[in-house]
Amino acid sequence: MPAVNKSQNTNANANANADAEKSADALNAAEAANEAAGRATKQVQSQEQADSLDNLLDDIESSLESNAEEYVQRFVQKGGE
Amino acid sequence: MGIETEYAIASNAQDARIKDNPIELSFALVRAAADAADAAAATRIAGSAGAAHAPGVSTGASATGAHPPIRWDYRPEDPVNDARGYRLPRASARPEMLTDVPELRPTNVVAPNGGRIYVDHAHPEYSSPETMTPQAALAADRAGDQFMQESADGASATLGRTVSIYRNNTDGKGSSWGSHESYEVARAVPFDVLTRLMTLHFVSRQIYTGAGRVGVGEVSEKAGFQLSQRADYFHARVGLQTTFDRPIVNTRDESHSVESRRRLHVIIGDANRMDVPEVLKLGTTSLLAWVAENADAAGFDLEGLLARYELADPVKALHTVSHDLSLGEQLPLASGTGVRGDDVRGGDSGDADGDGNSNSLAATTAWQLQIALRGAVYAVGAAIYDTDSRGEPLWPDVETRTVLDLWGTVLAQLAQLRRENDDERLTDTSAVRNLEWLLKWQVLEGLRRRKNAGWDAPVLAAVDLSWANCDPAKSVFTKMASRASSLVSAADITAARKAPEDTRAWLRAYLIDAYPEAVAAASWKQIALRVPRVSGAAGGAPGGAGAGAMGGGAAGSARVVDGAESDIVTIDISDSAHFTREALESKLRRARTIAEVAAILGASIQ
Repeated sequence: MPAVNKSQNTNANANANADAEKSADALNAAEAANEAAGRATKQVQSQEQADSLDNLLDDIESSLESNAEEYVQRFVQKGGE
Repeated sequence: MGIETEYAIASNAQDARIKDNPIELSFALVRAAADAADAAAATRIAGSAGAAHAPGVSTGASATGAHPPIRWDYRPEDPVNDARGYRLPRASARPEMLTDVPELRPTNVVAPNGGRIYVDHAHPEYSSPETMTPQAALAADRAGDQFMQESADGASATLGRTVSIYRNNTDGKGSSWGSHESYEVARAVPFDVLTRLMTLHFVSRQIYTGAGRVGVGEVSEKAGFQLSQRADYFHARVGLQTTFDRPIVNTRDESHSVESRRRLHVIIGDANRMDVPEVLKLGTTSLLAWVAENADAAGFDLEGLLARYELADPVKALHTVSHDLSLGEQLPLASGTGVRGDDVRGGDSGDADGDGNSNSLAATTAWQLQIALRGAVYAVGAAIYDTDSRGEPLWPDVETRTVLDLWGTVLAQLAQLRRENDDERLTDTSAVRNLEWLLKWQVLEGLRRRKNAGWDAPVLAAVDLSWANCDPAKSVFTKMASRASSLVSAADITAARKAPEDTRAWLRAYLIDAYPEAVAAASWKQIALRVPRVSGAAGGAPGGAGAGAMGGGAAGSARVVDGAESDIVTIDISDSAHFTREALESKLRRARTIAEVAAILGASIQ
């Protein structure tokens, strides 16, 4: 982290607000690119994703405590901090 | 910075007559951690005849390992000091607020990496050692998970039943426990400014820091899923307390540091299993504290930003954001419509809701708040560090750049997610790498559809709990981990089982490792050493070595307590960025006696 204030820019005031806008613009551009790239590959990916999520869910289901209700009921804690 | 994690604790007692007592289980776990620490110290003392770490040091302790255990020292702690400038009278504090009262059982152990393992109320807790970056804090926190799981295994062996620990924040039945962050902030920043800035951040950062929770309301009175584990347990804007009527901004001013720096003690965060939310949580909060410190020098109008985005009801907004899976709920602003159009330009995108009306700012969203806060970091960064040809601030270190890149990526992914329906979110492969609540939601929603169940189905609550189990063999999160971005490797975590080398934690761990028989107690700000009396009165330390060895005069005074054969000398290590390996190791390795060590560290016997 930039923990120390190393130099002071004399044009700080002008730059400050311009840069805040620039940052939002850059983010919007990144977002648009992200979205376009996402659409192109989405169809293929979503089928693969669904298959592998199914496999993971199978695995998770078989590993869960046999009596979910009792497991949840027994899990009683006291407050902390 | 650092992070403290309280774990839930439970056992698998099959016998219905054995009812879990989380306090007893916590003591058993910390007892196991204490036994491991004592055994390690005894081994080193026995081995020091062979001069592994501390050649020729003689402290008068026997070499058989029969020495008093090294414990955490409560004395320097001050939990009733309020950052708003006053102290709570101890008599009017609730007993659980007095966290500095020593107890008789071993409830406090110094972790091998200079952190702390202890019983806090009814939970085992691990405090990471002091670290300089979010990435280092993450690695130290993950190393803590390992220490705690090993101690849970030790407790299991003692008790004859499996003790499990959970990295979460609520049982869904009304109890909540914490995962606290600590940051050092210049005391020159008015606390009111810090409070207003951090309120905006804590209300809105949940959209990427949330670990996800099954159930809505303190006792899960409403079926459903929400972004955050913690939000429903917060009911006040600002305050000293952490266990009841919890405040968004906590004012505990136990700085554990030098006078010029205060501790920003953040109690509102979720305990994350995923790396990206944790690094973002630490990184963005640290960067905003830096904004508060540097806004004036950068000519940035922080006051204007805080006035523009002041929330009408921060507590309500906190709950709204956590309960809103659409990510678009409007949060009313205090200023209502009284903001002129030309004032609105700046950190926000002006017209993010697309209604063509950027002239009024009666309300905002969590996403817009995050855009504004990130904009402030860039504005101050550009002013302080100047920019490259693309307008990117010339950040001084790679850790900062990484946090800012991740922050931008995640906000872009959240903007995309806002437009997606549940079917699309179920097949998302990019945002889930960074968002813990979304990854957890995919599992829950997938199972819910399979079973055609409602959100109140016990199996979903069971998945939420198992997600947090720290035993990799039992954790649902571990099964999904390949879908989540990893920011620290197994090797990084192994390295973090030792102390960071660039903070005072290095010295704490070094002394315990090299002089286990001489360290009487350790705390964040002090280390007490037993220095044997050479002859007659107090004569342990060679005169004149004094504080000069630290170069900055950072070390302070020593207190002496009479003992039968040795004096107790207290080393002041208030400045967390001093007492590093680079500054001290070569000097300490040349010391021939513990008295010389004490002298190098600035302690002198009065």
